[in-house]
Amino acid sequence: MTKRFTSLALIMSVLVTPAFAGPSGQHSANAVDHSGQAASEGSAAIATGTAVVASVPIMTVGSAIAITGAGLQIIGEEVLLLGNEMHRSGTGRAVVTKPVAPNGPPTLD
Amino acid sequence: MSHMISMMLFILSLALPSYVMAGSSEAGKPILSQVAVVDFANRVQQDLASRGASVAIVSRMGRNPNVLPDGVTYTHVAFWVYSQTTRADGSTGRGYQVYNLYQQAENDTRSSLVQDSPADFFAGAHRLDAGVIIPDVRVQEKLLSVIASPTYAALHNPQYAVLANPNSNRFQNCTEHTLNVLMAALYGTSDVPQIKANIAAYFEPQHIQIGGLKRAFAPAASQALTTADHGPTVSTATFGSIARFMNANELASLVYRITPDSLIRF
Repeated sequence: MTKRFTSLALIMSVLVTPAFAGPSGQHSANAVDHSGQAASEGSAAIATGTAVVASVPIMTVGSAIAITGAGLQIIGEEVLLLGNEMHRSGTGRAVVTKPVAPNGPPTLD
Repeated sequence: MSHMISMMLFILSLALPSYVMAGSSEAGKPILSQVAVVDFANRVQQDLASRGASVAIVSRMGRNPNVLPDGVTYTHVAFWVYSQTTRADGSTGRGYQVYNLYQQAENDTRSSLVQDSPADFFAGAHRLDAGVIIPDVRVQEKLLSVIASPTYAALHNPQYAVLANPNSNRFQNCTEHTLNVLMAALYGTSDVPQIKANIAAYFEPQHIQIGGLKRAFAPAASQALTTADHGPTVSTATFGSIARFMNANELASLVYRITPDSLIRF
């Protein structure tokens, strides 16, 4: 009985994966699998192919918007911008925050 | 004695936070077909475009909601930004680019800012089901300014925790970074202490029910499950809590849920 309990407990303790965090899949690590690897906050490349070399936000607030050309998703495209945003990551050190009085409630007027 | 130890181990294993086997996400076994993912990504893109959204906050269902804490439906949130794209072969087009904070694969206590495509965003989904917030046009303009500026990266803290406390900058998850960027846009500041003060004053995070034993032993399974930045209770930013905040302050023009065959307004 004790052995069974011990075995069961050890198996359950070891073979668990956090439900929230999940096994994150960065593109660089898992794209080779071309799988839709599930992750809570990891990414999984859908496919590989013609890479995106530039992506610029368009300020078209209030204007008509259309999805055109390379903007349309098709299987066989790799549109990850590695080396761009990755290099814009923070410093790696948490910012020490001091108590500050809040502003007023957010408003658009 | 050994019986007691084994019983304690067994109880400990039951006390750990909502764990599931990685069966829903095994490498090499896609949950959803690529065709379905690409079709859905385009459906969301076309829907956002039809509403004239230059920037939207979009969430995905990365896990079976049955294994998530009460009040949490979506597991990942990112900005979708209407962009001009140029590929290596010279082809160009217009569509949405996704601005993510992703937990690193090789170190789950660290995160990186990564841009990817709408299809990649949904590639890791458990179900094709997205929560969408289209901010008020004026908020979109402010958000675009921040996203295109150094402030976007400056608000990133790579110390990752799944249940990061949005009132503190000790740890951060994707939703907290999204909230930081939103607050920076609303108040026109990149000052983190000021942003945190405003979050503490006006943003109500999602309370997470988690027992003392679970809190105590969760970091043993993964340091990313730490709740060291919380007090007696645990609350974190979620898609739902950001939607409630934006609705309450009239900052959103539309909040809805979209699936391959339905669209439901929240």
